[in-house]
Amino acid sequence: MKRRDIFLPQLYRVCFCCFTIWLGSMTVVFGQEVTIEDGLAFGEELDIGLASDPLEPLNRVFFHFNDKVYFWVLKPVSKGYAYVVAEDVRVCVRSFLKNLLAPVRIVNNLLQGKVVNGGVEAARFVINSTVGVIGLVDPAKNEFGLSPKDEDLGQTLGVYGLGEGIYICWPFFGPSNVRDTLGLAGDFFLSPISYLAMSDTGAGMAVQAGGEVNNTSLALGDYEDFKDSAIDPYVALRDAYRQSRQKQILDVVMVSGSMYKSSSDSLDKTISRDVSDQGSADLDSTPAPADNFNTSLE
Amino acid sequence: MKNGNRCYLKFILVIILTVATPIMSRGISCAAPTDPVVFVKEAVDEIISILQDEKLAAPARRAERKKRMVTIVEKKFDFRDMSMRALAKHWRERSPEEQDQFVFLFKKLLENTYISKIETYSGEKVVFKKTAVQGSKAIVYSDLVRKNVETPVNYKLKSNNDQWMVYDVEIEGVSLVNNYRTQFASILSKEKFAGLIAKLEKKVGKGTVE
Repeated sequence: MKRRDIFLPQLYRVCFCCFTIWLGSMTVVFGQEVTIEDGLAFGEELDIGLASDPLEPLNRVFFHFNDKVYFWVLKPVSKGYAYVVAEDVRVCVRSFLKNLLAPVRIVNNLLQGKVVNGGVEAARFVINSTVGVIGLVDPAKNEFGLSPKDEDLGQTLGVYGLGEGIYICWPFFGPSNVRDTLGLAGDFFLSPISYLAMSDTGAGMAVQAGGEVNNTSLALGDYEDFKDSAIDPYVALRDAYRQSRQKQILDVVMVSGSMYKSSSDSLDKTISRDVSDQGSADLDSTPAPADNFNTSLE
Repeated sequence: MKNGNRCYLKFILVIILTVATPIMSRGISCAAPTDPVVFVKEAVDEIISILQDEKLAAPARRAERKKRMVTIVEKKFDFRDMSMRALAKHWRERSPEEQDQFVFLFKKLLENTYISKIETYSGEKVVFKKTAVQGSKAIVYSDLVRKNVETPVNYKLKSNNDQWMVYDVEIEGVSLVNNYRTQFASILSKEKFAGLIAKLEKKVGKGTVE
């Protein structure tokens, strides 16, 4: 009985001490959180500095040239092509051409020391070339969850520490810089299409142009939207190119599907939803929320 | 004596608990007012339901439909913060009237481009992937799935007064606000502020006429 009397106040004291320590640590944590927020820029963009663009007048000329090539040639041709060829077929062609460039991705993953990603690309190539019928479909991603690991020589050089150099807007090829131009030249030797072009220049160029038309037909309107939203489209494109290249080099997570697929699968299911799916099945279910919205407004 | 001591300790404990509980709960609510994913998803769902409403799709009600989408977007996007970030160092050099005018024009520009883009969507899927929260900031990662290709669209949010607000959108790794900042900086290096305003007005005017 007496022991219990001593025990309880003791317990209170211990609790009190623990509580004080906890409170103290919380203030430290909260205090730190503020400094982390200020110092470590969570969610802030990395500063990529000003673009080095001494060739701007010339680049602007080529930018306008490419703009005209798009509106006068590429767009009408792609539209006609899209009218004739079904969308599913065009998706298959895009997938086939992408599969052809697997050597570029495998080699550059290895050059950057990303052995696992190189293996993933190699596995993708094997699976898609066989099960995926010469790369027309992408079972590696859809069935095996192996998403592509895009790397090119420009990125590899960037990882090695080579600066971007001056900005260049190439006619036909579009935005680039000295480093990525070197990269493109190097990757040329890893692309099967180049070897086709070496033996038969006409055929190689036809495949290259055809691929371009095919991919444009699947992204019609994107360039128009981009241009429409910009106040100075030339500067906007230059900045967008630099931002995205910088992130590709640093491998900033832009969400690479498989990483958290396993952990948030249920989330994906509950939250993912069709945007204006024209399917009749979906339309049946939608008038209800839409009507609710009406009634709440009126 | 013993009894008094115990009462005293109990009293202290009660006081500590009554004081600490609000502090603790405040700490928690500070860190996460609502789930940021839910916050962004709400807007996306509302816009989808508007787009799927066939009654609103009629050309005569186009303006009304747009107005409704604008109200949804306004609740979720902090246009003032976006304007400040987009103007960066030039923001502080402007008078409050000029700032207000800029916010108005920039907001109009973003709404016009964002909504006219959304209106062209058909068959795309939005998949919300994960959220990262640190202090009063959060990033909601989502994918826009179109023709078998995923485009990463990340929303960056900040909480003010227990309310999340989007302050930047990153599409395929390109930050929207940063992209505008570069453009504004490039224009302001050659022209005066009035020139930028004139350019914005022209752009917005063109957008509203369509």
